[in-house]
Amino acid sequence: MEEIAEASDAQLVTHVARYSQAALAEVYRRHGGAVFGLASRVLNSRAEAEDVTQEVFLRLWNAPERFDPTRGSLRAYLMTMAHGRAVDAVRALSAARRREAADATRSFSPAPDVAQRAWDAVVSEQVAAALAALPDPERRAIELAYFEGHTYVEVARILDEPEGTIKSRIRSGMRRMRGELERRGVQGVEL
Amino acid sequence: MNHAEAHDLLAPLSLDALDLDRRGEVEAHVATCAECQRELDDLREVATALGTTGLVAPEGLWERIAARLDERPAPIEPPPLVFARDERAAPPRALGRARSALAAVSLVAAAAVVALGVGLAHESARVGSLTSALASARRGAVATALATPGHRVVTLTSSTGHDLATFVLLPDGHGYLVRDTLAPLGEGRTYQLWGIVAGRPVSIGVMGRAPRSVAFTLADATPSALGITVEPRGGSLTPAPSMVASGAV
Repeated sequence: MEEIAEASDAQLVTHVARYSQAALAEVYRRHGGAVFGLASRVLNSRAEAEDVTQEVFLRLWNAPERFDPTRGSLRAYLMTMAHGRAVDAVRALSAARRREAADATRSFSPAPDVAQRAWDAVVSEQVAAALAALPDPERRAIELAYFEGHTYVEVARILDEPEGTIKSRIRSGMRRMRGELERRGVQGVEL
Repeated sequence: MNHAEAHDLLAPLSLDALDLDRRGEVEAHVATCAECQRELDDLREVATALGTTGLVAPEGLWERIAARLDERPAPIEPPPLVFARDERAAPPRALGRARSALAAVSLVAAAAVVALGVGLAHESARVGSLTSALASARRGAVATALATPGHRVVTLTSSTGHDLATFVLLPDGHGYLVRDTLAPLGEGRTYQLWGIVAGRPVSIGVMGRAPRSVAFTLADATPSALGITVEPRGGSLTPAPSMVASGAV
């Protein structure tokens, strides 16, 4: 399996397309924690985050050709899918249910890719710093949208601001985030 | 939606912060605009960094995923290099049932490899979507179809994993659109439904600019998957290169 362990993400996907379970396991080792972590953060429920994680990896297994390496990293592809599914699920839940579903997200113990995990820890630290560097109104708008699953129209209502203002805050906040992350050496979270 | 309007909404889209209608409209534009596609891909990398936690996946989760890996569909056979009209498979009679304008499109096998995704609705999600589908189904035919033994529910999802359309297929070949969140298209364009038969896309029919009520009948060939593309009004004989949504039957 040494070959698999050293393959690039894009190479792994071509192995997945040939029904290599070992390749999918390696993708999971590299990205399973991040996918689960994002789903947990949005859904605030371990069980539902596990469901989303399963869906994401089964989908890669069943339709690997949907990942286009010329368009971005495999991590971004998986995370985009996980976030989309998580947000759909969260919007289907009532607000009350969301509040009581706080069975929280602890960390668990299988054997993930150690180097990847260390890198993720660095990224998440840098992201926290980059987020902290944003002006408060931009940060708040991005957090409400991305982590709580609100549309920007809902964010405008929550913050009692015009929709256009929130739209531009999200846009300028994302642009600033990109600059901050580049400055901190975190751009593209590829291996 | 024009380029400027869509471009303006790329950042909210990258955070999944658009409602269904607007998301569909922006995604429909992005599918045809290389500049917006690049920008969106870029923003999604930033969002990915934003969503990166140091968390580890729970123990046992991989085993549960691995246990489901054999539930995969048979691989789609590569299409032959050249072929014209397929005389063997009877054309699915695309019927304009109810009031829907579902024009018949001749059955033509296309020399294109179509990438297909698989609807991964697991049991609990399936039950959930069926319940709400029943609640929202205005037409008795759909409700009847959903109560018919042997029916199959096919969920078509976008490349980003959003459920865009749900169909119900009956053993006798009738099929209905149960619900969809496809954004209305501009003048001059239409959604078109395709079935994948023996690895080849076969037109089932055009669905119009803003599909709400769609019914069709498949002849003897059962597709392994359904897909939806955006085509010029009137429909196309071969599908556009990228599917808006697709799902395994």
